[in-house]
Amino acid sequence: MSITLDRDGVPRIRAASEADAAAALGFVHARDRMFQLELLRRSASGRLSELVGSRALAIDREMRVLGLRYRAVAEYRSLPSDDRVVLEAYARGVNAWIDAHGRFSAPEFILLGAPDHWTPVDSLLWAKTMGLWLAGNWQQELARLALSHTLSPERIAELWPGRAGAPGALPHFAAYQPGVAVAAAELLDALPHFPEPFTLPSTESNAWAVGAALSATGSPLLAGDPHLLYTLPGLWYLARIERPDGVWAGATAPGVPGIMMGRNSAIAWTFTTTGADTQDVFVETPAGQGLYTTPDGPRPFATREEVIRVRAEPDVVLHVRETRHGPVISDIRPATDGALLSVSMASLEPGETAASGFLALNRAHSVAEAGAAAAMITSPVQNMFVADAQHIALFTTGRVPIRRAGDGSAPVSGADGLHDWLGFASGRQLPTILDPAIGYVANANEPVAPPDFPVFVGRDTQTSWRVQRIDELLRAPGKRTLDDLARMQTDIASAFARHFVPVLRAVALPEGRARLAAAQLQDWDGAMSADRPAPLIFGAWLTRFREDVLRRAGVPERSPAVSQLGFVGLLLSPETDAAVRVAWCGGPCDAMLAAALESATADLAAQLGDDPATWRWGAVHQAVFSHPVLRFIPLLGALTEARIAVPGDTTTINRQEALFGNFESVHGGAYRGVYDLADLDRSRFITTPGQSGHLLSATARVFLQRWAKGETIELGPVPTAIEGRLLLTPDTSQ
Amino acid sequence: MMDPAPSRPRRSIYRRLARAAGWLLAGVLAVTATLAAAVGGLLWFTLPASHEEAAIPA
Repeated sequence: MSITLDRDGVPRIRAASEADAAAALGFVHARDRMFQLELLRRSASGRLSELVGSRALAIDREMRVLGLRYRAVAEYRSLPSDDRVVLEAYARGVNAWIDAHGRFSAPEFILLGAPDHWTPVDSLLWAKTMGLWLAGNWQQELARLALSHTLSPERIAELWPGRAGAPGALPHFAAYQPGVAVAAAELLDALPHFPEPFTLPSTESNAWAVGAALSATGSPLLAGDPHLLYTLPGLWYLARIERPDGVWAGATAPGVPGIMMGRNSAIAWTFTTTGADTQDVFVETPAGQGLYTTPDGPRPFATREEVIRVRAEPDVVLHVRETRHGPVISDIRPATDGALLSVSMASLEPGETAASGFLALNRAHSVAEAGAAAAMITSPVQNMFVADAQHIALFTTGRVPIRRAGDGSAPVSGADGLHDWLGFASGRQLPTILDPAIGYVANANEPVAPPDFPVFVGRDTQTSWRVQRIDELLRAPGKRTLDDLARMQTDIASAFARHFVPVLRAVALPEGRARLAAAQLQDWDGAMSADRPAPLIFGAWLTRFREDVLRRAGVPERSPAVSQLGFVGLLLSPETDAAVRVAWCGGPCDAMLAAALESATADLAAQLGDDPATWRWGAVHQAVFSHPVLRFIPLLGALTEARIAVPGDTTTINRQEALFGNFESVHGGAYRGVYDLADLDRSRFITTPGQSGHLLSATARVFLQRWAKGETIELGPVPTAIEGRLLLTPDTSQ
Repeated sequence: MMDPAPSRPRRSIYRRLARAAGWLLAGVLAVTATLAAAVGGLLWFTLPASHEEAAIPA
């Protein structure tokens, strides 16, 4: 196995077999991201407190109760031998690095001591973590239940407007004892929330595939950019792998032996998240010591003991309980009183074959074979875009639960069995699009399935602002080139802003700073440019308005029950019933909008000066990449972060998501890939901030500037410059 | 009548204070520089080599 490293630190791996390539990838992942690997397995295994003490106890308790590692161990035993060989080879590669470097495997280990050996089960934890990150419905359900003692079901439903025509309505929560809502609120408080470590804000993504008829090359083109948390080092790691039977290139994820999004010699693939509802919370009924109620009478909990070691403190022993629905999540709280809540999660159910599906996707030679692989990727539920030399397609990965009744949007009674899961829909039972007549297929997290689709995928869908812009660009006359697709990925026109700016322009404002600020929106075209004041004024205005409305109603600003855009859109939309605005704003929302702009501009003036014309979006809207642990240490946190001014916002194709009440972008498309099926070596890639996890490395931030400018690199067979060579030889003596 | 004893010039106190502060600052800087060099050296030592051979168990 030989590896060359180009000047960006991107490895080109030459290997004789799939297993050798996995070993080499494991070696370079360990070389550049060993501490990231350590954090991955520790966070998913509930072992962070061993490293950082009791401040990680909440996340450890959550992971132990959900049992990610416990389930991964069982899954590994059922993997086919071909797949185990690949995972074992990857682990050998990681361990070769650990054995050679010990506590110098990465700077962080100087203090911590040499990392333990990597195991194949550790690799399965990546998919388990994604299965959890990319499906957050259980927290939405808890939040709705928590709000039920202060808001009516109608008001709760308006916080996340459902799709027109979709079945289902929020249940009336009155059936539950008042203590249940309190227990849900307390549990929600006990769960770690973003920006705490190893938590995520909403996860989104863009993708589109252009068929041969619309492509300037005469062959399909594909583009994809998943939106996840910005970290330093980033989640993605670029690599090219050459074997006698093919070439692979694209974004790898440290911990995983293959390409997550990218190309092989025949196909290219990428993903967008669906927002499918694959998690249901059940209010269980205790039936005496160690028992809970089922339709067939009392049943004992399945139990296991988990011991959490805590740095410099005594161990914490957890008695984990599971009902027939799944883990008892109310046990995540240290207090044991209150309601008994359990959760069903599709990603925790038996029969997981995500690892095999992922490897089958890497091995696929055609769109059809990729479709078969999609059906094997049991979690998370994703739109998988695939293109080969002739075809484009969208498949849906994962398993969507089929419920006896209900829409899964709020907790239901677990004792009566009326809302139990009957099984799963997967593969071709889920939305599938092959070579659509329109010539392209696109998605930006809005639902793919029509409201009358036979399988109910979920109530809480994302808004369609980004895909509106993608459609607008793809429907323009002419054929598309790879450059066009790459440019689209950095497009900053906001369909959301274009739609709602006329509403804001109509708000009556008194003379003063607020009116001066609003004047900046008069001729604005909705482009979220870093060098304009209008995006900042627009964003600050609606952010403050949302805060004010929620505060007035007593809804926590960060409640998972509140849609980020859908709720504001509902209040601003002229089509919305006036009674809805009266309920939330106390009348037409104009007065609250005017007050929100007044206070938002006062804050901006204090920060940026009195004249709104001199304000700039890029002055406050910076992408920030932080170390997942060191960011909490004063001074060191600032020294170990990367930041850069960026255009765009949550509603643009170039998506940048800011924290609540803060304009720093912490979430977005840290990987972009565009793929040319006429010549896959011409495909282009970028990730950010860089390749190495070593903060002194020249490649730790090597892509930051290029990514911000929308530039890309090729991962062809010959690098522009070779900066390093690694030679790995099989050792048969061990 | 005797002349009063000449008082020590006030500026000498300032001078001594300044000198002490200078030594303190120099000490802090020296310790910081030593620590920074040690940490930097350790970090530098953990930078992966650009050329390396390794054996992977078959």
